[in-house]
Amino acid sequence: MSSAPILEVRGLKVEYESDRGPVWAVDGVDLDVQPGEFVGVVGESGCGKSTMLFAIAQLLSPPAFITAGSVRFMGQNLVTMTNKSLNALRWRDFSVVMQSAMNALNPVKSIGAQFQDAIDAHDEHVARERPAEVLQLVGIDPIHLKSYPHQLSGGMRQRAMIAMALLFTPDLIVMDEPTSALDVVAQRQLMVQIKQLQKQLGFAIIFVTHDMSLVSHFSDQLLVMYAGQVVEVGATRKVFDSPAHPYSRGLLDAFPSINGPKVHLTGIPGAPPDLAHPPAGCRFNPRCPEVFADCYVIEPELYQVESAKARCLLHVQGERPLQRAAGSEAR
Amino acid sequence: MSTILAESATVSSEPESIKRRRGGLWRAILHNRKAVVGLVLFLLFCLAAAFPHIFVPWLHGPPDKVGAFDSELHPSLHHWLGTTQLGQDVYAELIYGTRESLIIALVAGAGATIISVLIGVSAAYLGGLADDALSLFTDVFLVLPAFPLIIVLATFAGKGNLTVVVLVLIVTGWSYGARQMRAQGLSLRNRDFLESARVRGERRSYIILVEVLPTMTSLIAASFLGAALYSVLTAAGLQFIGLGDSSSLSWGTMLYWAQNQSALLSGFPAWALAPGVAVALLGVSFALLNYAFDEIGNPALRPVRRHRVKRANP
Amino acid sequence: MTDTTTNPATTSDPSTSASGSPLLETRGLTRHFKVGGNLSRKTLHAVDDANIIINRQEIVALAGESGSGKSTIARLLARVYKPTSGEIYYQGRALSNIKGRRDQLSYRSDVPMVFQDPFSSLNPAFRVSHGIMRGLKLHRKDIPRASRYAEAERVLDAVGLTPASDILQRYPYELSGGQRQRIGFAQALAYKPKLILADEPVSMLDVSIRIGLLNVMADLRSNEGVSFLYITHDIASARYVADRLIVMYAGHVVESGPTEAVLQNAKHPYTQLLLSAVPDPRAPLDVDADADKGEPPRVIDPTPGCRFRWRCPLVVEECHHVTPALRVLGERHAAACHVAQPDPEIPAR
Repeated sequence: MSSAPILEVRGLKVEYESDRGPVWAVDGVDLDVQPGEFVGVVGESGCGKSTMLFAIAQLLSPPAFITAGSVRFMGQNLVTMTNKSLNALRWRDFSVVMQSAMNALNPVKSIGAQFQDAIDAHDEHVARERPAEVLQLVGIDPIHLKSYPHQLSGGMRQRAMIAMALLFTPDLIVMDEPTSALDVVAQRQLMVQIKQLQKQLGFAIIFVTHDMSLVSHFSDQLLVMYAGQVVEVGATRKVFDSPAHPYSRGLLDAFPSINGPKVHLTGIPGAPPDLAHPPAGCRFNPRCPEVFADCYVIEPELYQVESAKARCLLHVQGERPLQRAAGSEAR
Repeated sequence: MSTILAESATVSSEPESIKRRRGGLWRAILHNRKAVVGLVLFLLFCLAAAFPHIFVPWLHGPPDKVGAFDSELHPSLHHWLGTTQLGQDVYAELIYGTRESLIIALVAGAGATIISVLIGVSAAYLGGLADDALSLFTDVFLVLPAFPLIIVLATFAGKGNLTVVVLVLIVTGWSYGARQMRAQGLSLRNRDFLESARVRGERRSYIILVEVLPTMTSLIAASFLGAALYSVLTAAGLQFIGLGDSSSLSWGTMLYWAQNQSALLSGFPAWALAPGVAVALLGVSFALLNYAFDEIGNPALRPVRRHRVKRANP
Repeated sequence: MTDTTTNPATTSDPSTSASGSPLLETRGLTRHFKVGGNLSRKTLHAVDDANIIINRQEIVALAGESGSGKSTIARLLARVYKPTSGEIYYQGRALSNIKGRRDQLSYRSDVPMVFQDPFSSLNPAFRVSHGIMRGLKLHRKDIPRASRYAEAERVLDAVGLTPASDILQRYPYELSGGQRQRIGFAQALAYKPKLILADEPVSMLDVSIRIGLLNVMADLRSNEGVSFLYITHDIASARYVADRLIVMYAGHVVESGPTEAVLQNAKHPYTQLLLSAVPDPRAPLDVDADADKGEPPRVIDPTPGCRFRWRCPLVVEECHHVTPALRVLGERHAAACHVAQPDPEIPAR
């Protein structure tokens, strides 16, 4: 994929105003998405992945604000755009699928009415059959345009959300844990469906989830986030086969497998840090099984590790010692 | 045992906020500006009710003694709010009247709250037929037109009796809170910790009293404040139209006598306005305390004393 | 609570352990709910005719999707619901015979429950010691009042929460989700139980925390001799921690047996579907273009017949008319399917 990326995020920072002091939920994230690429973003609760997604889609509300960085979508920086120009792009060029369809769908309106709302809001001339078309695309009988959300099962509701996101055939769809409320079989169906649609229509996807194994077979690029930072990024297969960052390794190891020998697993001890007072140096140092002295002082960058990148001092190239961070809490 | 991954107490990364929360209710109130104002006002009223002579040290004899002073005086240094047509000092009456008004508010408020909690929470927790019956009972009282009912009851039960006034207020004031308690109880009903208590084998009465009620304290406090507010206003109204004991001294009776003597029309507004303002202020203090309890119970409502961030897109 | 009531003849789930009679057994356990308001006559069949056996010192996983009835079974065993029909036998004694507060409390202390949601399973108004101390008061009369706190500390140690005395004094909001779930286990452990009913205890936790709790369960089984009924929709975690696996679909038990046997040699088409749907990053993708598009049904007033028949790739005529019963098809391995084949060594019964 040598064409220009449709999304380029550089140095994105999101800060929460709080009475405990500043909290950096997202701390300097870079991300490139090529046209038609499936990008998976994985991490556990509190890592900032959902916040980052909302920031990219310009959906943050106070007390969270983007305080630095750029989000270039097809060349335009969304962060500095006016609301008017943003609305012109929304839904037509990029759309969002939320985590829980039950919360995102209006319970007192029929599906068809909500699709019509979306169409009207974006003032685009679409064929009258478009709502029925997109429902068929996701495998729902168009007769359900008349149904209300509570009449559909969880899996169908989620697919209806995806259909809504496809109304204007956007170039990028951003999904926040769309499968977490579903059972394993429904999850699998949905993932396969999404991948098929992607092949068919050619849109790019940013898929946020806490379930690494879910994206393992579907994503092209994988980002692992921890404590507001990207700690590893690379081709999915590469990250799964040889994870470079101890956190990614720990995360992968925390999944017991169905096949193969039964192994005793230990998970990752401890808990993610409080983002108002992150630890000095590498944020993973309280929990890292391979921690050494420098980890408590130096904040690692993303270092190249073969075809991937990892934010870990184990992979630092060149000479040591590196420049020390000026004061461990300088911001 | 060594294979169990011990989870050490790493939550100590925020000692400061934990200590703050451990200070408890008191600290929370003191930190909240609205609460402090409300509390101060309320305490002033309590003081006036308990020790009125502190505020009116120069008074000898009962404050409502007719003819104690020259009548129909405008507000002056001697008589801060002037005197009435009957020669009473308005300010002194106001202070001494605080006691009865406050008692009515607190007693009626507490009574209504207790009943609303009992009925509301039981309805929520017992469910089924009991819930249907209790809800019907509540709805009947909710729907009854309050003021006419109050007037009828007060007239029949014996005009002028303080106990009657309080009882009437309780009877008409409990149903609103009961609905709220029931709603809250219902939302709590399926919380796992209640099911956990059931599975533990606790008796139902224990569960309601010990497990459910403590989680509802902020709602109960808010309900009490609301009921007290309702009682103050309604009692003043009742007494104003003459259904209270017009020979007793309270803000409502002051309003009654002011109206009776056409104070406003004769150009002595202080007599009519002062008790009205007092009622309003007491109401304000309850309302402010109510806001504070809301904010304490639900941190999302707290005004964030923010440290401003520099936004990328201002 | 030993009782000399004779244990009726073996059921169709031949999973009794070698050490004798099962700890808990259900026969024809059924639970229906009325749906649709006061005037309707529709019944939801949450659980129908479930025969389940749990032995001493064993972890049994009960797996299925939502609507399969697994949570209802947990609540039936916890005596939150009464069975519509069928019976539960605990140590040979029928639960319907357990009346009187003392006997009921005795059962509750032997069979406690751990809940799914760490954010609502502890009363936020009290310190975390509250539930444990109440439990000790109600169920451990052998411990004098003065020693209760020490016992509370002991169970916290047993689930890996240290320092116990510090944590006991905290409020739930001061603990993480994983810590709260451990408190849930500690509460159950405080009763000196024989069987802990764990209703999806790790589903709401982060992945890296889950393993820690699953290890706690395994250790409690090995070191304290406690059995578990581990209810989950995650087959991989069931494989990790369970000795036996029971699969449910739409209110019926469709397969049961030793975990490895069921996973390596799944007999019921639904089990096979479940297994194929589990994402395993280390295995190559096996995407069937005509992958199953169905969903578990809501079983309201069902007709006889296999409830999986609309989604089953192996359906035959019999499936539409006769509800399949659990048949033994392998070593302690049974499935409820008309077309499933027995293992070659087992003579057809």
